[in-house]
Amino acid sequence: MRRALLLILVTAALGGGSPAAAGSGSSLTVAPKPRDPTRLTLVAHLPGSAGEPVAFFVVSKEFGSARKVPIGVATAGADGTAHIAYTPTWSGAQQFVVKLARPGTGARSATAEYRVTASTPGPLSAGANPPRPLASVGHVFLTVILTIVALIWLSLFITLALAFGRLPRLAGAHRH
Amino acid sequence: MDLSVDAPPLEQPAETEALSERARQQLREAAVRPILQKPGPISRLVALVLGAVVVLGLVAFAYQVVEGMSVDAYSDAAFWDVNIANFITVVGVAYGGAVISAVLRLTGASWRAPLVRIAEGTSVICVLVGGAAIIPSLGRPERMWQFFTRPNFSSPLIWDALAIGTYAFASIVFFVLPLIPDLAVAERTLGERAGRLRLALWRLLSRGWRDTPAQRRLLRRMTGFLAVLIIPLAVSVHSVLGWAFAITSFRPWWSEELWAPLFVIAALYSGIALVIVSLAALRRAYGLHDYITDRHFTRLSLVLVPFGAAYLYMSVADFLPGAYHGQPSTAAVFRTLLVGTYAPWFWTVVVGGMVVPLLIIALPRTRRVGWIVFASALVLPTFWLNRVLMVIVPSTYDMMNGTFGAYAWTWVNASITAGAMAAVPLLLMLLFRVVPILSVTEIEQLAGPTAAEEPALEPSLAGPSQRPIWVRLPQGELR
Repeated sequence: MRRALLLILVTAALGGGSPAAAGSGSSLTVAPKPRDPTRLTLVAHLPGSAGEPVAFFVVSKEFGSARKVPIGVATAGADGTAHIAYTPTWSGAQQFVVKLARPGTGARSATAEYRVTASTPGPLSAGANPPRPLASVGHVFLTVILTIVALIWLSLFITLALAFGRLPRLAGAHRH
Repeated sequence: MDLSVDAPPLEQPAETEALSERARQQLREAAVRPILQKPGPISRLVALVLGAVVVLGLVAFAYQVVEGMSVDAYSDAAFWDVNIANFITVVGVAYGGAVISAVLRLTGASWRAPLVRIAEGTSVICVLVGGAAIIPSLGRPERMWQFFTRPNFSSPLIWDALAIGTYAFASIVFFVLPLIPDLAVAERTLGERAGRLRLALWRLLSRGWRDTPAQRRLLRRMTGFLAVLIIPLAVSVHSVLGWAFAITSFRPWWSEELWAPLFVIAALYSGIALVIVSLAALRRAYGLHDYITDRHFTRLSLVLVPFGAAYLYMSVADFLPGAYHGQPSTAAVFRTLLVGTYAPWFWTVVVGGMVVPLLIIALPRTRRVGWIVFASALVLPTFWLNRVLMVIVPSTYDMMNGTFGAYAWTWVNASITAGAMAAVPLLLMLLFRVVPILSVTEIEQLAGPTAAEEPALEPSLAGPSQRPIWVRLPQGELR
C-alpha cells in the first residue's frame, strides 16, 4: 500500500550553497539544518545593515520569466547578519536572493545558488501521518461514481429518444 | 417578521372553469409576442450594448490566449482569479431556475405555469455561459479535448466538467420537453408568419404532436422524471464545486466542511433572484402583466427568504470558529475580510446581499414588486462579489510568510467578466425570439378543462392539485 502522504525529503550536498555577493562584502549562504535535512537555513551578511529588515527570496520561473518569490523577512543583527529557515518544495538548482527590505536603504544584496534534491521519504511519514480512512476505496468510488454518471446520461438519451421517437407514434392513439 | 401573503392563501382551491376562447387566443398571442413584436429602439439599444460587451469579452479572451495568463493578473501571488468567481456565479444562478421549476412541478403548485418557461430558459442559458466562463481560467484552452482523451480523475476539474456537462444536458432536455406541445401550438397559430427557420425548428421538435392523451401521459411522465433528476444533479454540481476548493492545496477558508452546502444554498438564493429579475424584465419588455402577476413575485420572494436566511446563518457558522480560534492562516484570511483590506467589500456582501434583501421581503410595506425586484437585483452583484472574495483572498495568501499578495484588475479580466455577465441577458433575449415565452399548454391545462379535454393534471408528489395560477383573463378577473 502506498504511503498515505508523501513528504518531500531534501538532502543536500555537503557544505553550503555557493555564495555570491552583489554589494561590497555582502554574502548569502544556504545550508541544510543539521538535524532536519528538510529545512534549509539561509544566512545573509549585509554589512552596515544592523537592525534593518532583510528580505529573502527564491527565484522562480514557474510563471514565465524569472521572478523573486518572497520567503520571508528577518531583522539583521548588530554584525549585519540575518538568517531565516526555509523548506523548499521542489528539487533542482535554485537561486536565492537577499536584499534590504526597506526601500531607499541602498542596493545591498547577495545571491546564492543551491542544488536541492528531493526524494520520497522512508518510514518518516508513517508515524506522523496516519493513513487516510478512505484512501483505499479510490478505485471502487471512482467506478461507482462513473457508473452513476453513465446511467444519468443513458436515461437522458432514452428520454430524448422517447420524446422524438415514441411521441410521434402515439399521435394516432385512441383517446381514453 | 411578518411573512404573510395578502391573498389568496396557498390552500385556497382554484376555480376550474375553462379558459374562454378569447382568453386562449390572447394567451397564445402573448406567448409568441417576443417573436412577432418588432424590437423597439430601447430593445435594440440594449441588445447592441450587450452584444458589444460580449464581443469585447471575446476579444479580451483572445488577447489572453495570445499573451498568456499574466495579462489576466494571474501571478505567483494570485493563482486563481476572477474568472473562477464568474464561473461559480453564473453556473450557480443556473441552479435556481431549473430547481424552482422542478420543485414547483413536483409539489403540484399550479401558480408555476406562467413562470416555468422563463425559469428553465434562464437555467439553460446560465449553465451554457457558466460552462464557457471557466475556459479563460484554463490557460491552454486548445487542450480542452484532453479532458476526454486523458482524464485525470484525481483532479477536481474533471469532476467539475462531468457534473456541469451532465447538468447542462439535463437542463436542456428539461427545457425542451415541455416545449414540444407549445411549439406545435405556435406552429399552428403562426404558420408562415414565424419565418422559415423558426418553423423548421418548431416542426423538427414538435414532430407528430397531436395532443392525444397518450402523448400527454408520456410527456408528463418524462417531465416528472426529469424534475426528480434535476434536483440531485444541481446539488451535485455545486457540491463538486465546493469540494474542488476544499481539496486545493489546503488553502485557508477553502477547506471548510461547510463549503459544499454553502455553495448549494448560495446557488439557490442567487438563482431565484435571477429568475425574479428576469421575470420582471421580460414582463415589462413584452407586456406580460396579465400572466406574470404581482402575486408571482410575492410568492417567489417568499421562496427566496429561507435560502437567504440559511446562507446568512451558515456564513456565521463558517466564520465564527475560524475567526475565534482557527488556524493562523484561516484567522488571517478572516481578519482581512472582517476588519482588514477587504472588509468594505465583505460587509457590502453581508448587508447588501443578505440583510437588506431579507428585510425588504420580510416587511409587508416593502413586499411589493418594485422592492422585490430591487432586493433580487441587489443579491446578484453582491453574490458575485462574494464569490470574488472567496476565490481571491485565500488564493493570494502566502502560506510561507503569512502575507497577502496583491490581485489587480486589468482590462482583460474586467472585459471577460463583463462579457460573461452580458451574455446571459443577451442570449435570454435571443432565446425568446425563437421559442414561446409562456408555457401555453401548461397554463391552459392548469387553468381548467374545456369540454373537449380531460383534466390534465401534472405529476406531483403531493398529488394532483388545481391551485390558483393567477392569470388575468380578458374580463379582468384574477384566477
